[in-house]
Amino acid sequence: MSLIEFCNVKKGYRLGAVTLQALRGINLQIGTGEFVAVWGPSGSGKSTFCNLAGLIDDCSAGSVSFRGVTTSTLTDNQRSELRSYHIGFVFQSFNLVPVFTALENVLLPLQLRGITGKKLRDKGLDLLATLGLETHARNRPDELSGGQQQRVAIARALIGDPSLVIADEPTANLDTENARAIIAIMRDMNRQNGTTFLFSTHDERLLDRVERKIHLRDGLVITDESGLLPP
Amino acid sequence: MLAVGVGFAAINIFGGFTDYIFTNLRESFIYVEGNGHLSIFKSGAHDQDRSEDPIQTLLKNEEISQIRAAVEAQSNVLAVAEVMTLNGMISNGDTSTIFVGLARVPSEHQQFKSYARGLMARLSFFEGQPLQDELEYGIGIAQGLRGKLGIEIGSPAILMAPTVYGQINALDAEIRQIPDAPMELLEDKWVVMPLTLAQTLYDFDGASRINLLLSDANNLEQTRSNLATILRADGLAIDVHIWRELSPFYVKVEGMFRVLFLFIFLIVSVIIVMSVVNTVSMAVLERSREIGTLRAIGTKRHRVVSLFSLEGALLGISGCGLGVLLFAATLMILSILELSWTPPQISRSIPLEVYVVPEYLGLSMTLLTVLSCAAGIFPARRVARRNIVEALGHV
Repeated sequence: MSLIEFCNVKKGYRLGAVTLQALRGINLQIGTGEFVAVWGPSGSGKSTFCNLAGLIDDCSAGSVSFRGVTTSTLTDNQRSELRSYHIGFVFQSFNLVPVFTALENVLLPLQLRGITGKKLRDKGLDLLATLGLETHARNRPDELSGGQQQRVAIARALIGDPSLVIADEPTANLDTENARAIIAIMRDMNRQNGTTFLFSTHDERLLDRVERKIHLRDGLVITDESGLLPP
Repeated sequence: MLAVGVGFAAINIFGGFTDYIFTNLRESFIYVEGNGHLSIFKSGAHDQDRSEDPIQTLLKNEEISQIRAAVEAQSNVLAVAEVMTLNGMISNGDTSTIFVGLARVPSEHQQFKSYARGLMARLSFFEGQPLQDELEYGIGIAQGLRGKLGIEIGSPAILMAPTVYGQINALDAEIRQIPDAPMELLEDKWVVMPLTLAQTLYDFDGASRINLLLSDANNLEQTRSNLATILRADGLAIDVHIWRELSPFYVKVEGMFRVLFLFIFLIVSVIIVMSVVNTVSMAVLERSREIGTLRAIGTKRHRVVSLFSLEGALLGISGCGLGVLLFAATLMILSILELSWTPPQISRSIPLEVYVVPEYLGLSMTLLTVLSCAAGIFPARRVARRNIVEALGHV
C-alpha cells in the first residue's frame, strides 16, 4: 500500500471571475521511505501538490488517499489528527514561533498533543544535536541564521516520528551551501529513520541528491523519474 | 490591557463610592438617628394619621413594659430605645413657628450611637452639649429653626402642643444643642428632646414606637416574624417594621445608585469587549502565519480558539492586575487629599471616601476576565475556520 496516492487530482483557485487551474489531473503514488523532489518553474503547481499531500488543502476533483484513507471523507478534526501524528512540515520561511527558543519550537508539536516531560526534552535536545544545533537550543529564531532556523524547522517536523515530511521550497531562502546541507540532512533522516520526504524546489542543482524527481509544469506531471540514487 | 485596567478601576471606584453611600446612610439611620434594625409600633400606627385619635396609635407604658420584657429576653437584641414623634409650636417669646420633633431617652440614644462603626462613629452630628436624661428641659433645634427664631444655645424656648386629650399644653425648655436635621426639608422645623419632656407635653406615659438594635442583622425578616409572633402571643396588638420600610429615602438612593452602577458596568463591559476583540483581532492578523503553522502541524480548530480565548483571559487578568494598582493609587490619592463634600439631604460637609468592597473586586475581576476570554473567541473562531494555506500565506 502506498503512503500517498493521487487519482486524477485537479485543483482550481477562484481569482475573482477567473478560475486558475493549479493541478490539471495528477495520477501518482508515493511509497513509504521514498525521498522525492517535486520540481518545476513558479506556478507549475508544486506548492498545491505539497498542500494536498500534506492534508492542508482539498482538491477540486479526483481523490487523495493517505495511508489508504481517502482524505475527502475525513472531518477537519480527523485530518488534524492525521497531520499531528503522521505528517511533519518544513516551510520555505521556516515559520518558527518567534518568542520560543529553538528547543521550545522543536517540542511544540508534541506539546500540542499533550506530551511533556524530561524524556521529550531529551529527545528534542538529541534531535537538535543530530542537526548540529546542540549549542543553540536556548536561542530564539532571531538569534539563528537562516540555515540554522531551517534545521530547527526540520527537527520540529521530525520530533513526532512522522511517516511523511512535507517540505515546500525548504531551500528557497537559503544560500547554495546551506541549501545543499539542508537537503543532505533530510536525506540522512530519510535513510536513518525511513521517513518519507516530499519536497518541492525550483533549484535544479539540488535534484542530483534525490532518488525520485517529479517534474511538474502547468499543473501536469511531465516526467516522474525514480531510482535515481542507490537506496 | 489598559482598557481592562481602567475599566476595572472605574467599576471598583464607583462601587466603593456606592458602598460608602449605602453604608453611611444605613449606619446613620440605624445608629446615629437611633432607629435601630427593627421598630415596634402599635398595630396600624405607622400608616395612620395620629391626629384623629392619638391614644390609638401610641404604645402605653404597660404595653412598653410588656414589650421590653419580651424583647430583652431575646439573645440578639443589643439595645432597646423608646421613641416618640411629635409636632407642635415652638416660640422664643416673640416669634412662634411649627416644629417636627423626635423625643428619645438620651442615654438609650447614646447607647445606639456607641455601636456605630467607621465614619459614622467618628463624626458628631450636633453642636453644643449632648442631651441628658436628668436635664428634662434641655432640647436641640436644627440650624434652620435657630435662624428662624433667632435663638442660641442656652436660650429659653417654649414648646406648645395639644395633649392626647385635646387640651393645649405649653412647657419651658432650654436650647442645649444644634443637631443636624435628618433631611433638609426639616431644617427649619426639627426639634429633638428627652422622652420625658415629650410625654409631659402630650400628657401621655408612652411612646410612638420601640426601636431595637440587633447583634445579627442578617436575617431581619425572620427575626421580625419571630418577634411579632412572640409579642402577639402575649396579647399585644403590634406591628414590627424593618428599618428599610421606615427609610424610603435610603431605598430610593440605593435603587438609583444600583441603576447607575449597572449602567457604568455595562458601558465599561462594552468598552472592554471591544478593546479585547480589537486586540485579539490584531494579534490574529499579525500571527496569521503562526496560526497556519499550528494548524498545519495538527492543532485542531477548537484548540486554536482555546489558545486565543486564553490569551483574552490573560489580557483580562493582567488588566485587572493593573486595575488593582490604579484603584489602590486612587484610594491613596483620596486619603492624601482628604476631600470632603456635602451630600444631598445633609447639612454638613463629610469626608469623601471610597470603600474597598472585596465582593466587587472579586466579582469584577471574574466578570471582566470571563468577558475578555469570551471576546477572544470571536476573532479566534474566524481565524480557526480560515483555510490553512491562506493562513500560511502561500497559494
